[in-house]
Parts: sequence; C-alpha cells; structure tokens
Amino acid sequence: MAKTDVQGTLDLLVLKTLSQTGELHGYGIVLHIQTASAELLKVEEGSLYPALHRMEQKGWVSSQWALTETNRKAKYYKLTAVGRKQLQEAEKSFEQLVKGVRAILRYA
Amino acid sequence: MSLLHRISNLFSRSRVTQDIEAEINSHIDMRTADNIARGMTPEQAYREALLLFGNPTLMQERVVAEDIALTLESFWADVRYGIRQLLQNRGFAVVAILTLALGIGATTGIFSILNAWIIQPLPLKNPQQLVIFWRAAADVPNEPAYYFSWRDYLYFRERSHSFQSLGASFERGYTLTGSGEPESLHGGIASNSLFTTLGVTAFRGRLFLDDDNTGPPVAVISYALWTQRFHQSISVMGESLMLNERSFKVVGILPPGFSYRVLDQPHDIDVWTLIQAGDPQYKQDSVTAVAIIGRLNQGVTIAQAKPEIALLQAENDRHYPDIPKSTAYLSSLQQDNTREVRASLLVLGGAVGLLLLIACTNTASLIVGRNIQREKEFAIRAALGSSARRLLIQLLVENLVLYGISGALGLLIAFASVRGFVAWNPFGSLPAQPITVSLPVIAVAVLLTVLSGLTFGAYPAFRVSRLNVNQALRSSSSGASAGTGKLRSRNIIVLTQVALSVILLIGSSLLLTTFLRLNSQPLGFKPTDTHVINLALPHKRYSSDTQLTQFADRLSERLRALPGLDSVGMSYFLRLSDAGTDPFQIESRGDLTAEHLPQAVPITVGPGYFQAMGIATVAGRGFMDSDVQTTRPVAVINEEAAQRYFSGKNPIGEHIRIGDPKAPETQKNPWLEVVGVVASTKSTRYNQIAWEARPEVYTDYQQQQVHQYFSNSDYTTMFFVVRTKRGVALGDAAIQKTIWSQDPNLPVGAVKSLGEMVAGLQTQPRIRARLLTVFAGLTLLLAAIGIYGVMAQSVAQRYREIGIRMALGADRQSVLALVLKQGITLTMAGVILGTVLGLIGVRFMKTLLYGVTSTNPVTYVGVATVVCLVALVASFLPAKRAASINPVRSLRTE
Repeated sequence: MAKTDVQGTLDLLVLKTLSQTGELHGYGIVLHIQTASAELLKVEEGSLYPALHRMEQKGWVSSQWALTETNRKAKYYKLTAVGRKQLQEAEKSFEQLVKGVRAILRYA
Repeated sequence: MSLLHRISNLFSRSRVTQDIEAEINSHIDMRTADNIARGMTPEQAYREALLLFGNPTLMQERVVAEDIALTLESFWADVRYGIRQLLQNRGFAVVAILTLALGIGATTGIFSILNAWIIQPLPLKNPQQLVIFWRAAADVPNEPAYYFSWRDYLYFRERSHSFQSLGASFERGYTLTGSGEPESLHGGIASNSLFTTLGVTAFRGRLFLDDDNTGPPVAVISYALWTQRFHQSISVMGESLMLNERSFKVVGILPPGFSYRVLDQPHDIDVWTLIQAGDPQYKQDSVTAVAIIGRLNQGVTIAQAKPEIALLQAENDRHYPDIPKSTAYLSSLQQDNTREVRASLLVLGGAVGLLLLIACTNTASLIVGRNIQREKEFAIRAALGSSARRLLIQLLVENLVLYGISGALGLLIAFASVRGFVAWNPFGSLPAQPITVSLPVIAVAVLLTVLSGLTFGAYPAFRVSRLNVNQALRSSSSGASAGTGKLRSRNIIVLTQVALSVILLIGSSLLLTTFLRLNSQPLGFKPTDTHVINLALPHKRYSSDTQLTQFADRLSERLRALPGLDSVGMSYFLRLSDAGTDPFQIESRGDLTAEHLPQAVPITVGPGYFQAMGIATVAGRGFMDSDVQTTRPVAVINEEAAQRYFSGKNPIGEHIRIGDPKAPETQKNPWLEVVGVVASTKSTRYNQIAWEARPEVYTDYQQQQVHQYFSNSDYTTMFFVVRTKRGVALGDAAIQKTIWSQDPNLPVGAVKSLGEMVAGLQTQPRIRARLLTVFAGLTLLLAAIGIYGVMAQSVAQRYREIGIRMALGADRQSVLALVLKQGITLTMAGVILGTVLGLIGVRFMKTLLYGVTSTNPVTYVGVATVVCLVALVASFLPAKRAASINPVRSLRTE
C-alpha cells in the first residue's frame, strides 16, 4: 500500500513548491501553493513551520536567513539532493494513492 | 542543519527558540504588509494575519518539538535537577561523593601502579621473547636460586635451537680513577651478544662488536653516568677510562631508559665491559657464574624451550661428575623483574577491589535510603502524569551526575596517589616504565564509574519505577508499618559491607602479625647504632694477605680514634641474605660421607667483630690478638652449627676443616681447633620472608689465606662494622676522611646503617602490612558509615512505631536495646559471612605469612570483636535518638 497521509501530502506540496521555485521563505510557499492550486488548497499557515523544521532535520531542505525584495529578513528554504529524491518518491506514492482512491470511487 | 549546528543547539535552547520566533514573526509581518496593501487598516491586517496563521505560541512549541536535538535538552534539565538535588542534600552528597571518589581514586591509582609493573611490557624490543636462565639445587629446590656457569652458557649457545641468540653478563665492581675523586661504579661484564640479544641500540656511538673481544679493551657507559660524571659531553667518546686501574676506551652510550635486571644483579649498571678472549676466568670450561639471557625464536614458548635446556644441561653435567646436581629453570624477564613486588601488588589490587566494592555498595545504600525518603515525591509526580520511564531516566541521570563528580574527584586522587607512591617509592625500585595515570587507565576509570553508576544506581531507580502510586501516597512517611520491607535491600547491602571489611581485616591482621613477628625476631646481632662500610681493595696495590691485614689493623685503629665510637670490627664477608654455604669436615666424625658433610657459611673476621656486631659469645672464647699466623689455627662456630653437627656434645676442642675433601685444594686448608661458640645470627633467603639461623664457621683473618679467595676478581672486599655509643650520630664525611687518610685512592660509597639493611630485607612484608592495614581501616570506616546510615534511617522510619511503644509503657532502656539489637544482628550476620569467605580467601595468602597460620583463631576472634564494637558505636547514636523520642510529639506528627 502506498504510504501517505495528510502530513505526507503537506510535505509533498512543500517539496514540489521548492523544486519549482528554487529558494523560498515560508510565507512565499503558502502563497505559491494557493496560487498554483487556483485557491483550491488552503494550508493552515502556521502548520507549515513544524513541517519545514521536520524536513530540515531529515535533511530534505536547508535554510538560511536572507532579505526579501521588500528588505525584510526572512528564512529561505532550498531543496537538497536528498529532498529531491524524497520528492520523487512522494510523488510516486501520491500517484498510487490517487489511483487507488479513484479506483474505489469508480468501483460499482 | 549541520551536525555541528545541531550539537550547538544542545547548548543554546534560547537561541533556537529565538530563531523560530523570528521566522514566525517575519511570516506574520509579510502577511500583514500584504493585507495593508490590499486596503486593510493595520489593525485589521494584523488580526487577519494571525487568524490565517493560527496560534503562534502553539506553532512555536510544535516547531520546537520537531527539533530532535531539543529533546536532548531534557537531559540537561535532568542534570541540572540532579545537581540541585545534591545541593539540597549536602550531607548525603558529601558522604556519597567522598566515599565513591576514594574508591575510584584508590582503584585507579593502584591499577596504574599494577599496570606499569605487571601489564606494561618492558621497554625492550619484543620483551615477551626474553627469557632468563637460572637453576636451583636438585635435592633442595627451595634453596636459593643460583647462576649457571660460563661453560654452561657456551654449551647452550652452541647447541640450543629454541633461541635466536643468547647473552651472558655479570656484575663487576669498578673503581673509576684518574680524574677527580675515586668513584665506585656498578659495573657489568658482558658477552658481546648481550645487547643484540636484548635488542638495544646505542644512544651515541656504538655498542659491542664481534671483534671487540680480541682488540683493545672497550667500554659502554650508561646515560646516567654520561650525564652525572661527564655532563653529557660528547667528547667522552673515544676517551680512556681507568677502571680498576686498567684503561678502557669508551665507544658508546646506552639510551636513557635502558635498564636490565636479572635475579639479584644490580639494574643500574653504569659501565659495561666485555668478556675478553683469553680471560682466564672465562675459559672453555670455567665455572665462573654468569647471568644468561636468551631471545626465543619466533613462536617458541618458554614451556617448549625448557625441556631442551634441561636436556642440554644434563648432557653437559655428565662431563663434570663431581658437581652437585641442579635443575634448570627458565622464566620470562618481565616476570623475574617483578618477582619481589608481584605478591604485594596483587594483594593490594585485591584489597583495593574490595574497597571499591564497599564504596559502591555504601553509595548504593545511601541512594536507596534517600529514594525511600523521596518515594512520596515520585508518587506525586507519577500521579501528575510522569511516566515510569521518565522517572527512571531522571534517576539514572541523577546517579550519573553523582558518579561523574565522584569519578572526576577520584581521578584527582589517583593522580595524587600515584605521585605520592613514586615519591615514597616503598619497594625501593620503580618499574622500567614510569608509573602514570595513562589513557587506558583513565578509560578503565571512566568505564568503572559509568558501570558502577548504572549498576548501583539502577537498582534504586528500578525500585522507583515499580512504585505503586496509590500505596505510596497513602502510606505516610512516618507511618507505623512502612519500615521493614523497604529496609530489606539496605540490610543486605550493609551485611555485604560488614562481610567485606571482615575479609580485609582478617587479611591485614594476618599480614600485620607476620610483619610484627618478623620485626620482633631476635636476630642474634644488634642492628642499632651500627654502621657498615664496604671497601674494595684493588689487587694491584693489595697483593698479599700481609698487606690486607695491615690495612685492616691500621684502619681499625684510626676508626677507633673517632669520637663517640664504641667498637670497630672487620669482616671479609657480611651478608644478611642468601649467604652460600661450604662443606666442612669434622675430624672426629670420619663416618660422614662426602654427600652428608656438614655445611656452613665460612666467614673470616678480624678482632672486635663480634663485639661491634653485638654477637654474644656463648661458650669458650672469641678471636684474640694472640691468634696469629704462627700459632695454632682456630675457629669459632655459631650455636646453630654446634646444635646441628655436634648434637649436644661440647664442640670446643674439636677439629674441623673447611672445604670439600674431594677437591685437591682442600688439602691446603689447615685443620682448625674450635675454641668458642657464639650466638646464631639470622639471615633471610631468596624469595622468602623468614629470618632463620644458618650454621656458620668463623675463622681468624691472620690465619686465613684470604687473598686467594678473591683471585677471580680485581679486588678484595672488606667490611668494617662501626658501633657508636648510644645515640651518637656518625657523619659519613668523618668516616670517608679517615679512610682517605689511610688510602686516598680508595672509593668510599655510602655508609649503610645495619638497622636500615635489616629493614630493607623486610620491605615487602612491611609494605604489605602497612598498606593493607590502611585499606582495612578505610573499609571499616565505610562499613561503620553504612551501618550508621541504615540505623539512622530505620529509626526515622519507625518514629511513630517507637512513639506508640513508648506511649504503651516501653522505657528508654528497652528502646535503646531494640535498636542496638537490630544493628548487632545485622553485623553478626555480616561477620559470619565474612569469616567464612575470609577462610577461603586467605588460603591464597599462605606464602606471604610468617609466624602465624592462616587460620589463627586469635585473628578471627579479634576481627569479629573489633567489627562488632565498631557496629555498636555506629548504631549507638541512632539508638540514643530513638530512645529520646517524645511519644506525644511523635504521635501528633503526620
């Protein structure tokens, strides 16, 4: 069975976002997910941070403080090589989850 | 996050939380700014941003929780909590830490010493291959070990296949003259294979080469001599040294740490010379004694080499049927080097192990006791949701803090004690490797600390983890029934402690008795106020008996003139240990065959010797000035010889002759008339600690041809015994000056006191007795603390019970008896256990005892009495407190 859950989904969203945008701070990640999903997905903004820190502990992302375009200090996250591999796996298992769920919905 | 980063997080929780806070704030700020840009008022914008974000504090907590590194933070909290706990219970902390530190420190220190002596290899190349050869008489194997002969060495060297190479050496006293004051040096004479066998290379110059035997005489000097005498001047190389008035060219200097010791040969030899080809003492069949060292072939063990050497020896002995039979022995050089101290060190190691055990159990007992007091605290915490695992971890951390501090302190004690030991140098010699608290030793100490922390800390912690919350909360700490069950584990600990200290006390009192017996032995001579001077008279200038006797007479005269002198005596032989015997014939006992001839130590003495040594004349007379070369030759024997060989008959007037009747030179020895019997003097033997009387035959210096006895050497040895009036201190300088006024070229070493010479032979038993007594005292003290602690806590727990008893009419007397009885019962059980274990343990000590059996009942009863008395004192204080409980107050307290 595909190993995935809600937390796994959030991880996937974050990893994918970082792989598409390069370097981004937490607020930017939230905005990107909203825009890219055409406002369909709304994450509780605060819950993003435990996820980011957990991923950093696991070595999927790395972080560093930098200035934004508006000269604010923000912590920027970046995908690591391990993170990139993790993203591939997460995407695969998500595909399987979607396939499985869809199959059940179509079962009649 | 890098590992480094993560580790640094451990030390700075605040920095991490600040970081997270800043990140969250920056998010909310950006959202607020965007909201304002979309037209909201700042207040609205901020509220909206917070709404979208969720509770920032909660989020922050959740982020922190994600930080694995920060979970370790609770470890530091536990450590800090542990330290706070220790600070709150200062009395407990001080006793526990000091006890443990003492145990760990003493163990680490003694282990460092053991390590340097027994475990560390000698600083020579592949030292495990080095083997020394020695032999003992076949029919009396516990007679002193003795050396092989030069001819045996040559035989082994030609034929043995077990060894890569063999080397031979022997001490030779050298007098260095020519520049400055004449100096007496420890010298050695060696085969040119000695240093290659040992695997030593020169520090400067070279060591012996093959063709040195035939060339001009060469010498190799020690680093110490090079430093002291030549101030490390390199120009000494190639210079000539005048040794025993012969010239030797210095070719090399030995490396600084080089030390080579075999049996009783000196290990600090200053100058080495070669056994030269054509030396009359080292001919093909010479019996000159040599110390043989061999380097085993790769893969050959001592056990494998021994039969080969035994076979070769038997084979060679067949060529010389006259010599007494002997058995060959091989032992590892390292083992031989530690032979004297090994037993003492192992006894010490055992004692210190027991001490550590007692220290650990004592601390464990203290911890258990304290945890019983804290049970309510634990119960409350468990009731508030703390898991058993959490409590267990916290207690273990607390214990580790305690043991960690003790371990650090113990290490300091170890450093100090090793320093003290080296400065004290009780054995009179230090191991080849310096004694240091080295890394492996520290590693062992750390391991020991952590292990004992976990083992002895785990049991109390385990108890807590099984705590029944409900019961613990309900039972009040001063409740009537709380005591007995909880105290069982502590009782067992105290019982063990008492038993362990009983074992140590038994061992130490046996060793102490041994030493006291040795020390109180009447030796047959009086060691106090007596000094011994050893002189070496070179053959070149003292080439006849007349010259020797003249020198002895004149010097005796001059010494007698010194102020405060009582008497002066001269002897050609003075040894308090390992004196060899010669056979002698008794004219009236023609029935004795050569194999059963009496044996005695022959000693040639001058007038005044018996008086100066304090040897009493028992019958007949001593030597007199009238005993001269031309008068009838006389002898004086000691009581031991009289009893052994003249069984009851009066030996005076009998005629004896020294020497083996089969040997042709014996015919030249005169028959001597026994004119007197003197008291037996006692001496010790190789590897044994007993003082015993040996038969001795004294002859007169005027009537003996002494000079020929010393023909194997470059000089004649002479001893002067100087007895001062009671309490008069005689300076070495005065004696030196007197001797130099007689002969300015004679080296004079240190003047030895006879008392020190005697004490020197009792070094090992004395140290064993002293150190073990210290250890036994310490363990008794620790056990007393243990007993006191348990009794005090038991009284505290039975506070209410005792109050009720007293309210019901028990008087103070009976309460006192009640508590004392508990302490004594516990102690008696420990004494019985310790005595049984002690009886088993002392069987390994039998060889270290003298004048006392290992089952000496006085010792056991004495130890039991002492331990019981100490226990009584230790439980008296708590008992007194119990007896002074006020029943009214004790019943009211809750």
